[in-house]
Amino acid sequence: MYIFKLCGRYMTTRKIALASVISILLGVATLIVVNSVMTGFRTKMRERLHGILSDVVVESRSPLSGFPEPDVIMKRIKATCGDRVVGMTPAIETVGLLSYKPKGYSANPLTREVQIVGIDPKGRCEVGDFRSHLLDKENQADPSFKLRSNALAWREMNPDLIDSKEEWPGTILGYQIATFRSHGMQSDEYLIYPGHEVIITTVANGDGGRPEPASYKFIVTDLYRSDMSEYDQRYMFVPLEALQKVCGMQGRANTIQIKLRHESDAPAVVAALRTMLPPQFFMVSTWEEKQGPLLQAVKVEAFLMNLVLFFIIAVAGFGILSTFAMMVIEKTRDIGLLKALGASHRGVMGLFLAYGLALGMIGAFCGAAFGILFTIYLNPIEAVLTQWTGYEIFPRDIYYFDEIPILLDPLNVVWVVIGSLLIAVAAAVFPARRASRLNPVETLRYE
Amino acid sequence: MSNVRVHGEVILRAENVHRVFYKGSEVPVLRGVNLDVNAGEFLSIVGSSGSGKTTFLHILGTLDKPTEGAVYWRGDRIDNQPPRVKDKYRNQSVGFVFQFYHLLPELSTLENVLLPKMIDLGPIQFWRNKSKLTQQAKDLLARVGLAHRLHHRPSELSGGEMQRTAIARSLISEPEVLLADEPTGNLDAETGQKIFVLLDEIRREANLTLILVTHDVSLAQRADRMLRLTQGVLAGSATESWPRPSIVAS
Repeated sequence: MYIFKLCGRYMTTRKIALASVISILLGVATLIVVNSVMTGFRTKMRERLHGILSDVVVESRSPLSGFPEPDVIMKRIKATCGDRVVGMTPAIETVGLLSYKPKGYSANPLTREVQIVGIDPKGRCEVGDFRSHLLDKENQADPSFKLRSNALAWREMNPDLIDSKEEWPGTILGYQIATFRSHGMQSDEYLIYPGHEVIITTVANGDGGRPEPASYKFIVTDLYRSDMSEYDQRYMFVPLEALQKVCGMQGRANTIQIKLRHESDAPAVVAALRTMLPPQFFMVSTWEEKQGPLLQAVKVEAFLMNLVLFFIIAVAGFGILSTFAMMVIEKTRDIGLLKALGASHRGVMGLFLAYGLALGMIGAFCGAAFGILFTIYLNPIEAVLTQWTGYEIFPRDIYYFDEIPILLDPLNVVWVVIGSLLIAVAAAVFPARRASRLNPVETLRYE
Repeated sequence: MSNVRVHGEVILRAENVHRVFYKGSEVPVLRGVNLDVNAGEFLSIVGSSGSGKTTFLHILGTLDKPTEGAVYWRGDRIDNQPPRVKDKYRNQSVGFVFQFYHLLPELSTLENVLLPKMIDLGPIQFWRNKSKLTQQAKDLLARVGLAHRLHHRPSELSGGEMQRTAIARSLISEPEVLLADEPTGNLDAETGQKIFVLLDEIRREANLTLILVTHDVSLAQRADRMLRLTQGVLAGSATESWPRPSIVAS
């Protein structure tokens, strides 16, 4: 009983110990906030990356020539993987240059490098979130490369920018290819509108397999916005047949995207396909392996951040250690008295451990509450701070998120609290052992 | 350990107790002390500073261990028992009163008196008996004249009041023996006198055994029996007035 009584009294009478509590509180709160933001960022990024790529990707080792008869290969994949596969679509991915005449900005065409992806829009929708990234509502309902009412209206209004002599295939452009935003601008400015005509120049599979330049005109039918700037800045989608024609790859593809019933089957499916498909011609990987370096970088960043932040709590632990070490010296006589009155070694040790635990609990629980509240209101807080300081704390154009992504993981909060409690108790162990080993005869002589 | 008090029986015995301290070289403090303490007896031990009085009292209370020899409590050896047994002995069988009171500054007077019970009982047991124990502590504080000081902190008490609190604390577990180490040594003569009278009264009322260590011979002479510790050896004195003196003073 005396352990609880004295612990309670030490809590209320020893103000110096509050410094340790505040250190723990700040450490725990910071860890929770940073972890929530990092987890939110990572989750959002994974969702977006996964939305763009299907669960498993089969690629040709020779992108320029690809592989023949993708339908036959897909049948073999289906035969190998059975019901685990719920969707597949062939594609051609290649690099190229995009040229266009922006309305009102320049008389000469502008050119930029792009990643050209030849797809079947409906098949692409079966293996990923392609549909939800399309900006045109009509196109979202029925994805295709057809000109929609928006594009047709624009073309009617800008006859000087169109060539109506021929029927050109459609293309869906990455949002950041078609728009830009300069420093200080509140909204995006369009360089290319749906309805605009663009020319792509790419590398075709020439005679004898030699690469040859090839150009073709496309009409922009829609824009694609995945909120991953890497994709939105570089990707343009064109009909698979059109790209096959441009690249001299009729009846061929260089990629097959595979959607699985359960994403967790991906490693097994990859292993089966690696056995089935000749490795000298095909590369098989999960979407995570494809995005390995990026995901790994975020993971490593989160780990290092956690490690560094945990040092804050470790510092708080040393604060407890030094406070307790001083306290044991100061309380030597009282410890002697407790022993004289029948307190055991274990009891005296328990007193100091309980005090350390109590400090840790107050710091950890208050820190957790503070951290959770701060995390929940992080975006309003960021807005207020941005308003006060005039400095944009979370630049949307850099991170490409409308708001700071947050994912408060309860398990993570529990681990942070447990970790800080362990540190607080561990810091109290050494002084507590010292107190428990004090000789009561020596200590009672203190005056 | 039986708590039945039979007046006159030997309850505490020191047998050939030696205590040597090692400070660079051997410093013998006690050199074969023998003592039988009878139930209900008021025994005083006098001696000059450094004569080993306090060391001997600590050995009787198991706070210290003899280098050689043995201490018996009600016929059972106590000095070589495991810590758990000695902790219980200190908590329940003996009560300590120190020269410097040793009250915990964080606790009130009432809580300081309850401290031995808090050490003895777990939280649930303590809370279950709280009202009874609190009443017992209040009665003890009333007995020592501190009924009006229940919730004061030690820092708000005078020296005499602190020692009264310490006496009340030593009685809460209803021990059989009180071990008082210079209880008046830190008080003025008048207050010291009052404390001594109080101790003696309480001893009589509760039929307690009191072992008083002091260098004040005038106080010591008022005990049933006064022993002198000189050169680490106990010697009897003229005040050996105990009806059945089974004392072995070497």
